[in-house]
Amino acid sequence: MTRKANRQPARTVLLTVLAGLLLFSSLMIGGGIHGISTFDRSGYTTEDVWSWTLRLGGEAETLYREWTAPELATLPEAEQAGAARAARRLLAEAWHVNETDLAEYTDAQVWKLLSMTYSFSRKKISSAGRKSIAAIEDPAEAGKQMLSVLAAGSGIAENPALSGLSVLEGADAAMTAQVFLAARNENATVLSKETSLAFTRAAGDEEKEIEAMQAWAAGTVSPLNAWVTEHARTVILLGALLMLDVILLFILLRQEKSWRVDLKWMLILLIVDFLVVFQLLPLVYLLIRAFFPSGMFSLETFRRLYTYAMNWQALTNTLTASACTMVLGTAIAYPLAYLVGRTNLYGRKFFRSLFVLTYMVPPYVGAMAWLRLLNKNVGTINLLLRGLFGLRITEGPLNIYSLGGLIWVLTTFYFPYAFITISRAMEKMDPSLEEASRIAGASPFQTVLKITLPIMTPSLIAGALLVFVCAASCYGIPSIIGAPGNVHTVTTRIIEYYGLGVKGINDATGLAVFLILIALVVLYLSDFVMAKKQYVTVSGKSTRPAMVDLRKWRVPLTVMMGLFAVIAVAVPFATILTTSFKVDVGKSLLEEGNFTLNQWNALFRDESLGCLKNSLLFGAAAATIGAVISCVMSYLMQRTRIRGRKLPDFLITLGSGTPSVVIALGLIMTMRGQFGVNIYNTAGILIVAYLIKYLMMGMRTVSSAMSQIHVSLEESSQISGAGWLRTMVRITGPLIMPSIAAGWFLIFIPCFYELSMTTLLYTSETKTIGYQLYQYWTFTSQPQACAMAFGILLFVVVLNFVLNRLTKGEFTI
Amino acid sequence: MNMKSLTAVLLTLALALSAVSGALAVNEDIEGKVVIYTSMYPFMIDQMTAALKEEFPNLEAKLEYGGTGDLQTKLAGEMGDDLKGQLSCDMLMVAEPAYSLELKEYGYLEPVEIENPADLLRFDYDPEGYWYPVRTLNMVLAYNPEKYSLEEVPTTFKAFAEDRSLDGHISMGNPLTSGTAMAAIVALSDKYGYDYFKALGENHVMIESGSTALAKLQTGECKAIMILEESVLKIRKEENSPITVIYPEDGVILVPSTVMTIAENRSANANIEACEAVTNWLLSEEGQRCILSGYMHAVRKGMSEYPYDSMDTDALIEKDMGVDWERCYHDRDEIRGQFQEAVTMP
Amino acid sequence: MAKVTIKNLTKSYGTAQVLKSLNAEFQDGEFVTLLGPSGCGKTTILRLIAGFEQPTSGEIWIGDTLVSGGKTLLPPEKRDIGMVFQSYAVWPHMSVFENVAYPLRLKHTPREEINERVHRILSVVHLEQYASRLPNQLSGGQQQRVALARALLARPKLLLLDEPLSNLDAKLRESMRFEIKDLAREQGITVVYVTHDQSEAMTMSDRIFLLNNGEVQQCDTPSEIYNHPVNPFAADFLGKVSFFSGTAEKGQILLPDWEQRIPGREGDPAGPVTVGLRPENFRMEKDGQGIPGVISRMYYLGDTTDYRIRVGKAEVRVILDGASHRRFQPGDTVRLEILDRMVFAGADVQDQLKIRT
Repeated sequence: MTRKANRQPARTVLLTVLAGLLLFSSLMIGGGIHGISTFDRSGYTTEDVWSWTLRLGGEAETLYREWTAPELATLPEAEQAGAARAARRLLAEAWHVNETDLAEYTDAQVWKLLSMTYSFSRKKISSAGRKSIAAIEDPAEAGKQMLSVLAAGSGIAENPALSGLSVLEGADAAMTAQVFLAARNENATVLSKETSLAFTRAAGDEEKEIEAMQAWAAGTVSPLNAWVTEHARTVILLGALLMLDVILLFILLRQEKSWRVDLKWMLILLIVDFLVVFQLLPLVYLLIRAFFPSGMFSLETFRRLYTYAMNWQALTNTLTASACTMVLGTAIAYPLAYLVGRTNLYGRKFFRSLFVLTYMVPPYVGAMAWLRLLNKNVGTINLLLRGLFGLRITEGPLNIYSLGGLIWVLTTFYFPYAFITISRAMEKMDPSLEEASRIAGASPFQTVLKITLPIMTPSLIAGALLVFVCAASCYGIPSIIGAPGNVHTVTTRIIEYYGLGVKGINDATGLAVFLILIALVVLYLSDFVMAKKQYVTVSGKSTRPAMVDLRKWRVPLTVMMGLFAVIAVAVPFATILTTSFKVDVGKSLLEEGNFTLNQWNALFRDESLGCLKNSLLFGAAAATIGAVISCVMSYLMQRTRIRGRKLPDFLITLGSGTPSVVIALGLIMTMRGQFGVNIYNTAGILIVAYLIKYLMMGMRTVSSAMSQIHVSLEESSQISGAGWLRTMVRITGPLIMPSIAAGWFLIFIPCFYELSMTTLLYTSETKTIGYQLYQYWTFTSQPQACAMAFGILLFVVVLNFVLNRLTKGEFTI
Repeated sequence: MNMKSLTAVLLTLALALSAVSGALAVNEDIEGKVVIYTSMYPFMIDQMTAALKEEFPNLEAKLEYGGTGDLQTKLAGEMGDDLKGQLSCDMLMVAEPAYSLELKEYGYLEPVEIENPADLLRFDYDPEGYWYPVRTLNMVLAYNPEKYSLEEVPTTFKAFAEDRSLDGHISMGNPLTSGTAMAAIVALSDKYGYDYFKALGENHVMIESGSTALAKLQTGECKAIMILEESVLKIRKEENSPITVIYPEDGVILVPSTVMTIAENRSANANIEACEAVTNWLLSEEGQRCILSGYMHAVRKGMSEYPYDSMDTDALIEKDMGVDWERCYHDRDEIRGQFQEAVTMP
Repeated sequence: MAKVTIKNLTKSYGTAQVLKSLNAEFQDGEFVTLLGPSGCGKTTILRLIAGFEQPTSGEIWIGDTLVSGGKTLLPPEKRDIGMVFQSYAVWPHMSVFENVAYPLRLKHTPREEINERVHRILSVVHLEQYASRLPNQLSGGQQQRVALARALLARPKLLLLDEPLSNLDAKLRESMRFEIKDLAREQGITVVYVTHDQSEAMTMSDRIFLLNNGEVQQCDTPSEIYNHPVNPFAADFLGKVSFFSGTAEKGQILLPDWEQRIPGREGDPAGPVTVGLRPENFRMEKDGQGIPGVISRMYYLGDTTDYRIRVGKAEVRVILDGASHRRFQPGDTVRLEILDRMVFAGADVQDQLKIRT
C-alpha cells in the first residue's frame, strides 16, 4: 500500500512536467510556423533580415551618438540646419522619394538612415580618394570643412577656391556626405562592412532595403520577432523533437512501469533525436522527392529512369554482381573461417590476420591493383598466363573490365565481412555439438555438413545478406573497374546523374530510392526474420573447441589456403607497393632510373599531413561518438524489455546499408538550413555522414559483448547503490572494454579512408586522406596514389598492432 | 588646414570620382578575402596562390580545387532550385567555357572591366565583361613511342575512332565530369556528326581520368589516348617521360577556359574590387606566365612563350578545330545523351 | 564391452602439466568414476580417451586396439564410443528422433531398423512421446535423456559421461543416477563417469579414481577409499572428516588441542601425525569411560543430529541419529568414544589437503 502511495506523487509531478513541455513544444512549433509565414509574405530574401536590420540600425545609432551629433553640435546653428536639410535631400535622392515623404522623420533619424543607406552604397570611395583623405593631417577637420561646404549649399559658387565643389551634385554630393560620415572610421566605410553586406543580402533588392530601414525607423522590428524569424526553422525542429521526446518518454516510462526519469532515458532519447534528424529526415526527404516530384504521387520518375536502357542495365548489373558476390564471398568465407577457427591448419593466426587485413583497406585500392594485374591487354597475370600456357593472343585470357571482373574484385574485398561474421558465430557455438557428432561416428567433414552448417545457417545468411547489401552500395570498385568496360551499376549512375546539375538530382534520387529499398528489404529479412531462427548455443563452460585434425589433408589444405591468400591478398598489395616506387608504370622497378622515393616523400608534404590530421580528427570524433551511442543503444537492446527497442538498431543497420552516395545526397539536400540545421560545408556534416554509415559496426560488436555479460553483474552493482551511469562506467564498461575498443576501431578505420561521401561533402578546410587518394588517382599519377594507398594500409596495420598491445592482446577485430 | 590643401583634396576627389569606377587600384590596397574555385590542377593552385600573395600582399586569396563536373554540381546545389541561392565563392575558373554562358543567363555573374580586351586577347570574350578567357587547354592525342611506333598510332581524331586496329586500346576522359572532354565531343560531333560517337563505341574506348590513361600508355595497355596537352607536357618535363603528343592533323581542340566573377549579391565576400584586380592580373603578362608554368597556353596576344616543348600558341590556334560554345551550352544534354548511348552503353 | 588400458599417460598444455603419469585399467563392464575437484584433470582424461585431445606421452588402449599413443591417434568417430556431454550437446536443429537416430544414419542402417531401435531406446529413457519434438521444447532432464539415448543407441563398447547430471536439480539428479547405472548394467557397457559430486561417485561406481592436481590419489572401491583413505585429501573429499594434529609415541597419540591421549594402533606412523575422525564414528553418552567433552552446538536435521563437542581446546564434530536430539542439550557434559579413526603422517593439515584453488 505504501509503495503505491509513494509512487503517486512522483508520477503526478512527472506527468505535469511532461504536459507542460508538450504545451511549450507546441508553442515553439506554432511560433516558428508563424515566423516563416510572416517571412514568406514579406518578400525578403533571407530570414535573418530583421536581425541584420537591427544590427545595422544599432551601428548607425552608435555612429550618430558618438560622432555625427557631437560634430554637428560644433557647427553654428545656421550651418547645422543647412546640413540637416542637405542630409534630408540626400536621403530623398538615395531613396528615390520626395523630401515631403520624409517629413515624419526627425533630423537625428535622417542622419542615422543616411548612414545606413551609405554603408552599402555601391559607390565606394576609390582608393585614390582614400589616399587623399589619408594624406590630410586632420581628417576630422577636413570633414567638418566639407560639411560646412555641404551645408552652405548655394554659397559655394562665390568662393573661387571652392568652385570645384559646384560640380558636385547628386551622387557626388552623396559621396562627400559619405566621406564626411566615414571620416571617423578607419576603414573609410560608414558602418561595418560585414553588417552592411549581410543586410543587403538579407533584404534582396533596393526596394526591400528601404522598406527594412523604414520599418526599423518606425520601430516595428522587435528583437524577439527578429530572432524568431531568423531561427524559425530551427525553432520548429526543436519543438518537434521536444514533442517527440515527451511522447516517447511517456511511452517508455509507462512500459517500464517506473516513473523515475533516469539519465539513461535522456541519453536514449537524445540518440533517437540524432537518428531522426540526420538519418530519417534525409531519407524520407529523398523518398518524398522521388515519389512526389511535383507535389503529387507519381511513378513518372521511375518509369522514365528505368525504361532507359542504360539504367535498366545498371540495375541488373547491380543485382547480379551483388548476388554473385554474396554467394561467392560466403562460399569462400565459410570454409576459410572453419579452417582457421576449428582445425589445426598451419599458420592459422597468420591467415586470420591476413584476411581481416583486406577489410582495413579502401576498396578502390584493391580495384587499382587488379586493374594492373588483369587488364586484358597487358595485365601482369594475363601476361603470365600467356607465357605459361604458350597462348599467342594479344588480349586476355582474362578481362577485368567485365561483370566477372567486377564480381571478382567485389568478392576479394567483401568476403572478409562474411568471414568475420561467420568466425564470430563459430566461436560462439558450443563445441560439444560438434564433438557429439564425432563421437557418434561422423567424420569431421560429415560433422561440418550435418551439424555445423545447419546450426550456423542463420548466422551465415545474416553474413551473406550483409555482403549483398555492401556490394550493392559500393561505388569505388565499379567506378574503376566497371566503367571502362561499360559495366554500369546503380551507384555509378547515381553519381553521373548527380553531376548533371539541378535536373540530374531528381534522377539521382530516383535511382537512390531503389538502393534504399533493397537495403530495407534485405536488412528487414536479416534482422527480424533470421534473427528469430538463430540457435542460441553459447556454452556455459569455456571449453576449448576441439581442433579437428586434418591429418593427411593438413599440408594440401594449408597450401591451398596459402595460394588463395597470395592471390587474393598478397599479390594486389605487392602490386601497389611496387607501383608506388615507380616513375614509369610501364617499366619494371628494376630498370634504370625507375625507382624513386618521390611519391613517398610527397606524403609528408603539408597538404597530405593536413589531410591526415583531418582524417584522424573526423574518424576519431565519429568513432568516439559512435562508441558512446553503441553502448547506450546496446543497453537499450540487451537490458530493457521495451517494445520497439529494435527499431533504433534497425535504423542504425539501415544506415550501413544505405549507399554512401545516397547518404551524402540526402544530407546535402536537407542540411542547408531549410529544416533548421545547417551544417553544410562544415566538418560536422562529414562526421555525421561517417557516423550514419559506419555506426553499425560498433553497434554490433558492443551489443554482442553486452549480451554475454550476465545481467546479475549489473544488478549487484545496483543493489550496492550505484546508479545507471556509474554501473555502466564502473562495471559494464571495463568488462566489455575490449569490445568497445574493437567497435571504436571498426568505426574509425572506414571513416579514416572514406572516399565517396567526402568527395561530395568536403570543403578546402575539411579535406581527408580518402579524398587526397582520389585526387592522386584521378589527377596526379598512379604511383602517387599507390604510395598513399599503401601508406594508409601501413597506418591502419600499425594502429591495430598498437591497440592490440595496449589492451594486452584482448583486442582483435 | 588652409584652403589650398582643401581644394587640392576636393579636386583630387573630383578627379577620382569622375574616373572610371573601379580604376586600377594599387596592389596594397586590394584587401579582404576572395575565394576562387578552379579546376586547375592542385600544383597550379599552389603556384598561383603564392603569386597572388606576392602581387596583392593584403589580399587573402583562397583557391579551391574541384573538377569541372564536381564544381558544377556543388554550385548547382548552392544555387538551389530557385536559382537565387548564395554561392560560396567569388570567382570561378573552370575548364568549360559554356558554363560561363549558363551562369550569365542565370544572372550570377558580375561584369568586370579590363583594358582593351580586343587587342589583348587571342580568343573570344564577353563584350559586356562577364567572362574572359584566362588559359587555353588543348585536347590532343598522345602515345608512347617506347611501346608502339608512330605507324601503329592514329594521327587524326578520325582515325582514333575509326581505326579498328585500335579496338580496346584507346582511352579518353568522361564528358559528364570533365569540361574539356565535353568540349572535345562537341567539336568532334560537330565535325563528324554523331557517327563519330558510334565509331568510338565500336572501338571500345575506355572512359577514365587522364592520370589513369597515362599509366595505360606507360604499360602499353593503350596505344593512344585523348588527353590534355598539359598533362603530357608535365610528365615529359618532370619525369622525363617518353610519352609524346600527337597534334591531330584534323585539328586540335582548343578550350579557352574562362575567368568569371560572381555577382556581388550572390558571392561569398562581395569583394568586387579584388576580383577585378585579380582578373586583370591574370590577364597580365605576369599572370599569363604563371599559366604557362602550369603547362597551359597563354591567351594574351603577343606572348610568344609557350609551355615546355609544345608549339607556338598562334600556330596552335591555326590548327584549332573550333568549338561551338553556344551549342555546347544549349545542346549539352542531347550531345551527352548521344555519347552515352553510343559509347558508354554496352 | 571393452577394457580400457592407460599407460603412463601425461598431458601438458604448454608448460602447464595438467595430467601427471596415469596408469590405469578399466575392466570390461566396469563402472569407473573419475572423481576430483575442478581442474584436477578428470575431464582431460575423458577427452583423451575420447580422442579429442592428444596425449603428450603415454598410451591408451581400448580393448586390443591402440587408440592414442606414439604416432597413433585414432579419430573419435572411429573409436566406437558413446559420450554424454555436460551441456548434453543435443542438436537444436533436429528433432528428438533425429538426434537419437544420427549415429545409425551415419552407418547407413536401413530405415525400419532405425525406427525400431530408436523407438525402443526412447521408451527405455521414457521419452517416446517426445520423438518429434525439438530440443528447445524439452526440459533439462529430458534433454539429458535424449543425450543418453543417443549415446547408448549404437551399442558402443565404452560409454563416457562428463558430469552429465550437474545441471539438473537434486531430485532429478538422484533418479537419473539410478537410471544410468541400471542401463549400464543391463547392457554390460564399460562406463567412465566424470564427476565432482562424491555421493554420485559413491552410489554408482564399482571403482573410484580419485584425482587431484593431475595425479591419482587413490584408486579403489568406494568403501575402501571411504574407510581407508590414503591421505587427508582422500579422507576429506569422500565423506566428512575433522582433522587434528598430534604426536604419536609409545603406542599412544597425543592430541594437544584435545588435551587428551588416544590409544595408538599397530601400523600407525610415528612422530607428528594428523588424526582424521569421521563424525559418524563416535559413540556419545552422558557419562561413561569416554573422553570428556561439552556440547557447544547441536543441529537437528531430521534424520541425523549434528553436534559440536568442545574437547579441551578443540571442537569435535559428531553426527548421531536424529532421535538423539531428545537426549542431549547444548551445554551438556558428555563422554565420547572413538569407534574408528585414520592416522596420517605429518602434522600440517593444510599442506596435506592441497586442494588447488
